[in-house]
Amino acid sequence: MKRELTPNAALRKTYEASRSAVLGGVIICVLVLLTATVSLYSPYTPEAMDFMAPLSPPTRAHLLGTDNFGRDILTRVLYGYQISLAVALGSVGFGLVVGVSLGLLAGYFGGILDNIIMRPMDVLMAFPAIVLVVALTGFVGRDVSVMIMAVAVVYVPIFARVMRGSTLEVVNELFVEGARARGASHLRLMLRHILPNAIPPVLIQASILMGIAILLESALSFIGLGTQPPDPSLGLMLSEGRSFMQQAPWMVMVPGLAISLAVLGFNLLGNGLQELLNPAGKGR
Amino acid sequence: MSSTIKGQRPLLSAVGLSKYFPLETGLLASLRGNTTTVKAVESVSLDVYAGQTVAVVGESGSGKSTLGRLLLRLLQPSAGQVLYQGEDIFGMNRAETRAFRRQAQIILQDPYASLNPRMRVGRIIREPLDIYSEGSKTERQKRVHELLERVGLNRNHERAFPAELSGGQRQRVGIAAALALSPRIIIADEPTSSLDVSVQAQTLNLLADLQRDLGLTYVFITHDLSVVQHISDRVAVMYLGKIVEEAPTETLFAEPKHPYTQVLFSAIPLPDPARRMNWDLPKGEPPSPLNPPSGCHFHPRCPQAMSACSHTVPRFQSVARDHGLACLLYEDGVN
Repeated sequence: MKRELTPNAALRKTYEASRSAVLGGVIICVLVLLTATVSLYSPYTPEAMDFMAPLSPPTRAHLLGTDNFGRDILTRVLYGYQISLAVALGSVGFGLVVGVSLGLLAGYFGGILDNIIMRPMDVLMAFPAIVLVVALTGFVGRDVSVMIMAVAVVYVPIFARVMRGSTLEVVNELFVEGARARGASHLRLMLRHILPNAIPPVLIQASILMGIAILLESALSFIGLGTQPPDPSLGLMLSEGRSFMQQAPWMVMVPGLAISLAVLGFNLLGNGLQELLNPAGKGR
Repeated sequence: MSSTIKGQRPLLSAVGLSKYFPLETGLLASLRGNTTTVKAVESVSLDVYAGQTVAVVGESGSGKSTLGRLLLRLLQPSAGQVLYQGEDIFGMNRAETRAFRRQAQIILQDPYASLNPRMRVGRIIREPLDIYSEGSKTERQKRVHELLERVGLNRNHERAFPAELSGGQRQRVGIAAALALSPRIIIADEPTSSLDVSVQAQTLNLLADLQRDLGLTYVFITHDLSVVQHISDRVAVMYLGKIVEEAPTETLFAEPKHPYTQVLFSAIPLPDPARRMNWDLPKGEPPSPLNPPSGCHFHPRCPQAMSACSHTVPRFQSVARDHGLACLLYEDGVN
């Protein structure tokens, strides 16, 4: 059912949406900042073992406790974020560049080119993401760059599809026809006129897929196909902590909550953007 | 005016121009070979002389906007030619098309949809200059300022986004962008129909001033006959993809011959409370262009239809100097 919003309600909705986007943005910014500078302020390295305090609960020396080797969990979580964020940024970045280009070409030219581009995308999309990633990492090897490429391969068809759809909407706009009448080339039409007007839904998708990339990285590391010990990774820490759940619940709780926080940040940002860019009463 | 230009070659002319749009049918239907087409424009011929304004009038769905797009090669025709200074624009190569696009510009109907919402006004107006690499950066900037003033805007508008302007201001931006390359001919597709009445008048005056000062040629596509009377030298009336009557404006307004033109004119509101309106409107809705009536397309709604009209297609012919029409009432040997 479609609700009519009074101007006030619409304004309030915009405010709430922007609040969600801002909150998400702040969470992500703080995480990125803490993670990027962790080596500057952390008293520990992620591999440093404190043999005096294995499985220590949170104390003043170890704010979020230690694991079974006496490694500081807070430090390891912050270093773990580096890998998570690298995978998220790398895969989404690659997926965006390739997917947006393909979707733009398919939507703009249509016809045979549309089929040549989109049918393989459909095939890729038919694979369950996690299976595809497992297969690729299993096949090529275990490395951060492999993980990034594997997730990117899953993301390319998603971005291509969203971009194609929103290109189709924009390509028939009057201003595109006007620019064509002025003699604008295909490239100019695509880059100057269509891309800036078709990109917003793709950016929303990008924010949400960042969160999912973090989950994928954790899942891969959890089952042993991602980051290898002793490198810190949130998924790996979860998996190591399972055996000590009884004695040291913080070993799984801290990385678990860390994953949730990052995913929450990206989802808040994505949802907020969606509300902002797709104002009440218009569409959906 | 038209008498003075006889013997001169038209600047732009359509010769037997047709455009059929295939309708999306399923794979099975296309295999069986029964694809339906909409005949948006059907064998239209029209001459536009330099310095003149030709109005193309018709109801919505009459194919007048499609005609406008064909004249600029924004669509490929199904048949026929468009000659610009005697050369077929559909046979032009890339460089020639580029040169043609410089000289023939369009002003679009809806100023809310026709400007890129993510470009500032200055860039919108400068874009044609960028496309054709006209002059240096400062020269382009100067030209943008000139154009802004020319259409009655000022330099402060240069940094604005279209959303910050009113409908009339946006239409002025559209006009400025169309003027940027100093074209010879402008196709104006209902340039005033989405504007307020007062703004309409201003925009029409602006277009008339520009024509006088720059020697522009206009093809003015509209459904508004009261606008036509003020600005055009010649009028072509379209009905379901065909031109049914074409004549100099005074002739057409003084003695419309085609029954469709007559009913159209009787529907113009008169600003005179003493005179009663003669509401001799065409019967019913315009028929679907998907399945147009047989014979003369207008016969089911025509107040003067004869029996022959339902099966004989009228030919377009001259009834007087400069006055052509397609109606069996004026054809010999049919009655």
